[in-house]
Amino acid sequence: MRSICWLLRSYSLLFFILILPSAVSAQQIVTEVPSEYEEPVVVWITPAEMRTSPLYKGRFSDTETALQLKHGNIVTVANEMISAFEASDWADNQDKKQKILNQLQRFMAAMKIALSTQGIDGVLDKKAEQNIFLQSLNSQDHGLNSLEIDVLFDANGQEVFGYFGETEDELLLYEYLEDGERVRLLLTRAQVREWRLLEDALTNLVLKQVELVRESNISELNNAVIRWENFLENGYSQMPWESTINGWLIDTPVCT
Amino acid sequence: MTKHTLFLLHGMGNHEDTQWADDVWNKLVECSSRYKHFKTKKALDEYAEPFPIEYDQFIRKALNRWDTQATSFGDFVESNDSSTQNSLHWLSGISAEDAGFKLSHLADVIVWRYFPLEYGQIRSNVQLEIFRQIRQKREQDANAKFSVMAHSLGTSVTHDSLAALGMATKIGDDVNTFSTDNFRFHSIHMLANVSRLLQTTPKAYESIVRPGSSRTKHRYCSRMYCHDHELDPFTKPRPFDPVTWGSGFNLTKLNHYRGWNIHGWLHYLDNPRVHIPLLKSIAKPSAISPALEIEAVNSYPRYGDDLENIDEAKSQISQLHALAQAIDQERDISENIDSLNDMWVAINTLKELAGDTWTTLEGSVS
Repeated sequence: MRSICWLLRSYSLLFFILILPSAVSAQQIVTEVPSEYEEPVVVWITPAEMRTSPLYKGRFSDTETALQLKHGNIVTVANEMISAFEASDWADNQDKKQKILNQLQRFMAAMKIALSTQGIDGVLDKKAEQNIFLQSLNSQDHGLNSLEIDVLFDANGQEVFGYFGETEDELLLYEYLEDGERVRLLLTRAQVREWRLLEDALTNLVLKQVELVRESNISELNNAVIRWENFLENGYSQMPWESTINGWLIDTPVCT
Repeated sequence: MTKHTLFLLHGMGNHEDTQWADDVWNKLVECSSRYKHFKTKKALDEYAEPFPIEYDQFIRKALNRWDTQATSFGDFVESNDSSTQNSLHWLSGISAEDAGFKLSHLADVIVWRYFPLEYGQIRSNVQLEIFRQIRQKREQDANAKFSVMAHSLGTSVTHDSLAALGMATKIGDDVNTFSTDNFRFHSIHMLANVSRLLQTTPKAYESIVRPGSSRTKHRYCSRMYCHDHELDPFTKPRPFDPVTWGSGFNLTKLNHYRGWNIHGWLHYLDNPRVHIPLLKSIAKPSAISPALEIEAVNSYPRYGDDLENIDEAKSQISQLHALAQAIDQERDISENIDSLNDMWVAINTLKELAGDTWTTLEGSVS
């Protein structure tokens, strides 16, 4: 009996010596969540990272990237950033990295289809092209917010930040321990930095492709406001009964 | 750094100066200072900034327009005897005693709900104000975040404005870059939610103004929080209480009495169950730990400190409970108008009973 206990103790010791250190390094427990896990990229990115990170592409300001974008090679630029991410070592979190890659793969496939839709000719410098691009992305269940950070729930039902909620690739960045005070980091700081830099840059890249459409949307909303103002304030007088009757006769448009 | 933008949409009454928004934001800053993170590490102002949306001017303009043309809104209401479902016959025969409540407190609601032209103008302006700001900020930072806090009538204005725009696939001839496929609010906070009571199309329970993840279709926010005080008269008919909206939706029933105006925005906001989710949304989830949140909620006194007339106030609260029971939850505002009026009178009696200490949370926001 004593020898069995000794054996168990030895195995436990071996477990703590060999297994636990790597677990601790991968899933550090902290009392304060580091900035990278929750705050916007601009809060924690360093000037050096901003200029040199292959995942951030200097926010597309380096000469080579700018040239690629000038020629409409959005997918090439995005693929270069994703390749840099793929090449980094996520040894102890390979499964989580794979979740991200799954989603990126789907997103890039949708981008490629959108960019090859009839009516798009190279650079998306015309509003009509931007409309086709976005319409195609939307019809494939993707859009400008596909890679956005989510508020999700951890195992204890606490709100935490993560990605791809309600999909099989749901990815939490951290979780609370049962005491409701300490937090287990589910990705290392370096890993979170890499992914969030990439996600931020990709979102920015896609958003830039539809700037003309966004501008036009605002302009159309502005026109609607002017139309109402002309009708109600600069047009003919509206007594309450006129307003009521006219109101029920005129079908109020969906978003104007 | 681009701060998290918190859109504020006010409720009934006159909001022509910006004091209301200052009062709400200052209250939120005061609430944040109760927690260590905001006191010692990073103040709320460094995380987020308010963006007030005012639509009251359009209601005032309509009322003034009618008044100056010798056909006041009150006269119109009294003479309206249309038999359509949207008629205002339920407001006719206003007595001198309750004209104050019906016209001063409900005029805004009536203009919003029963006058489609003014409704269209308000909705259009609110959409422009919100989405112009979003576009400006997203130009500076593609990942800028936006949340909404609305109170009372503002919840209906928020719902209808966002629902109409978020579900449209096109704006004019162009793809809608603010549709649910392309944009999402971080969180939406509805205080004294009357969006179901005043619903038109789409109906509040069928709307895209509901929470979900970024990969779920037809969801306009990540998280949605609704807060309802047990004796708030305006939330009793057709209460907003969806049962199948998932874990991203949170409805809080409140029973605190820290000021006389239990419908007031500041009275709602004072409660940790209301301000903690909001603070975490616009700052970061870990700014207030779950343990600290539980402690703050549990230690929050139900009644205001040092009340002069607590026993009388409690008795009045019991009467309010009885009046609230008389409201038929399945009927709309027109069929409950007398019960609502009785409750409003009872709340004002509470004000008289409460003494000076109960006026602290009144502010300029009703």
